Amino acid sequence: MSPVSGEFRASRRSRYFYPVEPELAARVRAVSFEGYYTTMLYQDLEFVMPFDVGRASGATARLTGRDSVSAESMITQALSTNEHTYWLTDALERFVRSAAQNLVLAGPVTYEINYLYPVEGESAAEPMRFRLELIAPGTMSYHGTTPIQYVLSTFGGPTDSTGLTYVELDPQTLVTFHLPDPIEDQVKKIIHFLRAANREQVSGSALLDQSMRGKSGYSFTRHQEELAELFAAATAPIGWNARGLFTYNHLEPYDVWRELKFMEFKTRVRQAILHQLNDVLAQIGSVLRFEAQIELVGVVALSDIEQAMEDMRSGARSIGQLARFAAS
Amino acid sequence: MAGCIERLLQVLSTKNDWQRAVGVVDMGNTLIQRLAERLQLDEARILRHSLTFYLRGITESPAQFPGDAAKIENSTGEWEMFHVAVAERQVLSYISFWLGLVAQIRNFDSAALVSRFEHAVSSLDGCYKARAPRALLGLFEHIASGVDFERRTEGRRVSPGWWVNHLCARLLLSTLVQEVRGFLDEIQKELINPVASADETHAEVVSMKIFSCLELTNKMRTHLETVRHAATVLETLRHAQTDDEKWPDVSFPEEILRDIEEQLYQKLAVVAPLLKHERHNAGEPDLFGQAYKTLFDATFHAILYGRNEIAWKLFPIVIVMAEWARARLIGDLVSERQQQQVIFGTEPLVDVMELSGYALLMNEVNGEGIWPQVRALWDNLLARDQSSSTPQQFANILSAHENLFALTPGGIGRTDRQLELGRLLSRQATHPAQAASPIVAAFSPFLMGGMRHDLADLFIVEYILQRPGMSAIVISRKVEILRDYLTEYRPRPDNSGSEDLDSYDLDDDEPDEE
Repeated sequence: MSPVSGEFRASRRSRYFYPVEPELAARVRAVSFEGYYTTMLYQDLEFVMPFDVGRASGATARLTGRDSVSAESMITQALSTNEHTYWLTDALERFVRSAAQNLVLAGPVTYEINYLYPVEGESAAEPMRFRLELIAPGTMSYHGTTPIQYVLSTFGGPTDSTGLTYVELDPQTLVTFHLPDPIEDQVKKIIHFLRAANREQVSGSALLDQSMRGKSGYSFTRHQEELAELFAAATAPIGWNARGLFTYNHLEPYDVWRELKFMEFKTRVRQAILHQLNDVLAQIGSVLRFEAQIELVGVVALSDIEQAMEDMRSGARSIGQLARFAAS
Repeated sequence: MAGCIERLLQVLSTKNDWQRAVGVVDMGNTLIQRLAERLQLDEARILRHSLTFYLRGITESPAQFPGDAAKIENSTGEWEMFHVAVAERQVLSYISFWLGLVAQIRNFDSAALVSRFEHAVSSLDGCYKARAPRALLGLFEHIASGVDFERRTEGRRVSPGWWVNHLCARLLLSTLVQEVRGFLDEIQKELINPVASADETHAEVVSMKIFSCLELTNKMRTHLETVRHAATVLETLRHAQTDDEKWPDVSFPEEILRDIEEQLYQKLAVVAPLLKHERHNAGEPDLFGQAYKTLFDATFHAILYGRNEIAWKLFPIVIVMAEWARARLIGDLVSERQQQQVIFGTEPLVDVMELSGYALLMNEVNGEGIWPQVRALWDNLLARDQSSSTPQQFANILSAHENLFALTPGGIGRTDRQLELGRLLSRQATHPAQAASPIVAAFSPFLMGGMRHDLADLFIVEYILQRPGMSAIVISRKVEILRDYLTEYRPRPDNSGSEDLDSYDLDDDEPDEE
């Protein structure tokens, strides 16, 4: 059992920390958003939930099920791990955003269900609340079949053959979120490409400098054209347009098409996270004895996006109308 | 290439080679037409400018040619031929351009255009095979590159056909509209203004340029409908949902053509009296006859459509030229039978009577016009007629023509003009019952009974017979009928006009045309 949190005792074993030790930092950095292009994608994924979510005219989250009213406060607190909020919509928006960013940049994301027990009283053996604790991407591994988290040596504990300190985790309390099947592999390749592009990004100025000094036949324009094509081809499965950095050879419908595809990607990711989160709530509900599911209302559905794509093909809507839809 | 042609023409502009220079100009004009047919409008325009620059240089400053054209000028006959050939071809470049353009767009249809656009953007090679104006070619290139990019990056084409069609149709239409408007401006600046300010010393050359310019404006007016048809076809490719503010306005300022033509008529009215009007030589173009016919038709249309200012500018010139034409015809027909001499030799006088009749009628129709000036002119002319035989002579001429049962060019022309009048009046829907003027009622196309009054007869009835002492002159049967008609229809002080109307058979249907 981990230290007591307020009037509750937590079941949490994983730790939250800044990876100040070099070996840990290297593991975390390998899956982080660090880098020019990956940072941009990371930021763009902030809008995996519509930007107007929670506003008067925008989408909202609500609970359904038998205990939708009584469980709302508990679920809201459970999701708002680091940023306290009283609103389910806000808590869900932050949870989904964080999960999506980690899923895309780092791959499958594991949370530890942190059951909270009363410190005193007759019901001390029964958890009353829970929190979903993110296990920082890059810190989780397995020791044999036992899940572990690498932690700072200052926390103390066993070390593995590389000398890294770790804590063992309870597999019963771990839940791992995945991207949908065909997307996961595609995204992995895209992130691999973007990390490579991050590394190459600095070479452009050196080549330009050489060209200006007459030492090479480097053409900035040609370089940009090739980058445009490489980026477009590599990111085609998700439609990300690198914030419009590369527009060479882009036709207006193509740009809108890419916006729609990115919108479709974000929607699939959001739906996948929400679906898995509801599975987790069902699992936790069986322990805490509540029955509630989260529903997001007022958001663009996949069918809306598919209709928009069909409208582009048929001409039922103008490119301008579709661009406005894609920006919604 | 245009530069090469310019240099070649300069070298050929010599006494010995000027005919070859004219041949090169002819080939250039053919090429202009072909380029315009392929919608290579920029290229066609550049070549046209080169030829125009050369031809204008010959007529305005021949000494600039090293060859030199001035030497031709010294050999009078050669120079005249060269000058006339150049004058003809100056306008021909524009006509070639216009005919080439309309030949291409005449065949526009939606399905063919869609297929053409699709083919042009579906591959990078396709766009270069498309016959298109430069701007559209640029768009084809842009879209073809984009589509190719989409195939490479997405594995499929993304940009839809309707978007391609909309963009290409908009640009093509915009190019056409700009081309036509620009062409009108260029005609004004490069052809009409120089002609309008031309020195009248070379009346033959100036009149030849005027005829060519009028041929061009006539072709333009005719084929503006073709351009409108093309615009309608292109409109079918417009994507309605796009609500495109950039879609071009396709209205053409047709009054520019009318203004251009009126400038040309006015100039012709100045130079026509300077043309030779002696007996016609079959070996030379009949510039005087052509000028007379052109001015007569222009005056008729100006009267008919209420263009009073230009009508009155031209009318006195036509009267003078008609008299010269009559005198010339007498000489030309001297070897013909007497009846032929009477019929054909008097046509110009029938013309002026008819034209005067139109001036009178349209004054009645519109409540304004040039009839007061025309009447004053006749008053003046007849007052100077010492023999006083002219009125009877006029009546006799109409009698002679009444008894003629053959189709003559003059008679066909008069019928055509009556049909045009009928169309105009039927558009105004002036029913005899509503017509305040008995004259208007008499010429109403709704009047049934088969009697079609002549405008020359109207002149006799309403002007000649109204002159003092003219009641005794012998008139033709048709003139008599018209006189009786008007007398009966015209309201009398003791009776109302509406009762008189009852005796006429009125038809509400469309006017019957001859």
